[in-house]
Amino acid sequence: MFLKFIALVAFTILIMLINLCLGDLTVAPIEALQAVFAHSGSGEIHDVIVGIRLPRLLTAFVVGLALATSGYLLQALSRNDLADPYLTGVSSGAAVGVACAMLLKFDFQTIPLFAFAGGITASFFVASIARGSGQYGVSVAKLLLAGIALSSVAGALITLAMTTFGTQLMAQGLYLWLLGGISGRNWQELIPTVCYTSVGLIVAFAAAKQLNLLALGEETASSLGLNVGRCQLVILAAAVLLASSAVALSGMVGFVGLVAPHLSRRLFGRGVRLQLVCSGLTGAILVLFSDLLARTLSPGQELPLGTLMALIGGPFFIYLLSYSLDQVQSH
Amino acid sequence: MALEPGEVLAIQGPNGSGKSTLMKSLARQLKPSSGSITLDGQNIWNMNIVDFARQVAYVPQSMETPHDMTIYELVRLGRNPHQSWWSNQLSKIDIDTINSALERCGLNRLSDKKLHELSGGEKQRALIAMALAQEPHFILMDEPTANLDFRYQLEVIAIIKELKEQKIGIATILHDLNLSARIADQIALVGSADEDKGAPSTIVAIGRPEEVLKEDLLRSVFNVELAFVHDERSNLDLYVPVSIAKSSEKNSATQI
Repeated sequence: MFLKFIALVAFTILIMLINLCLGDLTVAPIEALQAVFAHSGSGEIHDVIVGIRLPRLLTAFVVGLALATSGYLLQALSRNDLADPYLTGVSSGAAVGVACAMLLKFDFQTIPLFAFAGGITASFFVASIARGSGQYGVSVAKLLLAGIALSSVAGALITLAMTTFGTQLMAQGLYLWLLGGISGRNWQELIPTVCYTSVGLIVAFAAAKQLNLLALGEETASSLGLNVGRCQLVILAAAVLLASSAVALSGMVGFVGLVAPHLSRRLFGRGVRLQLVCSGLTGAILVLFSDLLARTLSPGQELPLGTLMALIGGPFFIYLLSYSLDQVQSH
Repeated sequence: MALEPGEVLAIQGPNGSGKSTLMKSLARQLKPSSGSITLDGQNIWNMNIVDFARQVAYVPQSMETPHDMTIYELVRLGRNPHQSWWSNQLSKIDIDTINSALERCGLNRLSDKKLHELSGGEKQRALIAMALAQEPHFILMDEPTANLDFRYQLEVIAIIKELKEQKIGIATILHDLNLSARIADQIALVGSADEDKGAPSTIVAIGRPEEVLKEDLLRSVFNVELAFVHDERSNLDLYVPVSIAKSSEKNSATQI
């Protein structure tokens, strides 16, 4: 287990290094590291590495970490392995928030807050539908259907807002952002998001014990003295904050929150704290890898990150869906 | 209805009569729409949830258990009401309590076994061990013998007897009249709601087993003819369901 974990960390570092080196301008690893840590190297290499690739790399890392952790938390809360910020409509809600913030010309420090407001509204809406009339537990089908419905309403709202109030330039920018991409992210955009993400991560780690209790079901958790409603609310808020920060930074990148926790469960087992770290890092690796492909697959032109992630994650979701429906029917 | 420490209360009644609802109300899972449940004179809904969990443990009939969790990991969660909200560390007292809970349920050798590999009897004992780790004064059990074969049923009964000796008050739903008669100090008989008359389900009788387990009372609650047998060897009074009572046959015939 310890060796596996070391391997995961090593692999994360390796893929970060590859991301740093490859691209339109290929840089030797040593030179790249020198540029980052020693502030030396020729002018051009230094500009590309520190000015463009490093913030982009860290953005990919943060987005992957945040989406995967958010997915893990949502799966733990709903006790349903198909939950993910993208599929449950939380990301769409956050996107509406970002679109509003952009229209109102807020700067990047406050955009994640708008995203959070949108995301939390969406999550309450979806949770209240998925919960239904039963006192405890959520219905998988209702959760996903509510997510689909919410996503289309959110998409319509964004289009409506843009065509009514926005300039053409704004609409174009928003469209590109919605496709999901992290090109051109700079330090000013990255740092506030890192702060919001850290808050979410800290809450998630502090709630590890509560997550363990909630895994026994709400009834048992409450008979063990857990204030179930309050805990769920705090964990949900953390999950939404993580997803919204990612959306604010990179637009609609789907399926990371679904795929990463699954892979990491298969590879590393189920302990809560371990899962928080491992699915986070797995998510980071996924996004770093997708971004590498997005930048290098067709030279001179970039593919949208969201599109690539959907190509990887979509089939995976279909596989999980058929698998879990089989399970439901066999019961 | 009242339960003292060291007393066993068995709740009996037909399916759908509201035994589980009653149990969940006692366990502070469902808020009663009228009436009140008090613990040491205090309404349980005015108590802090952690204080309540330190005094009353609830063993549900079945529980979703996370894949890969071991018995030990489950039982240690029973210490939650005694720990601070952030701490996962086990104190010396925690460890001793967990070990003695495992031992009392005969699980100390199985503590590293995964929950999904357990037999029905082992799983039920694991749930009871988790409740014991809470060090409660009262334990509420929702059909602890459901789906268990004779041997495991007797094992659960033996655990209940032992807990009773340790002055823990126990309320449990049981379907088997014979088991109830053997361990209960009190039996509460819950009757089904009468939809024709619009009467809600009520506790028809409550008292010592010999007062409640009477032929006419049982016939009217369960709609079943019973035979009463005395077994010389075990010196036990046994209840054997013989046939569906005539009156209820008539009822169902007229409904058709």
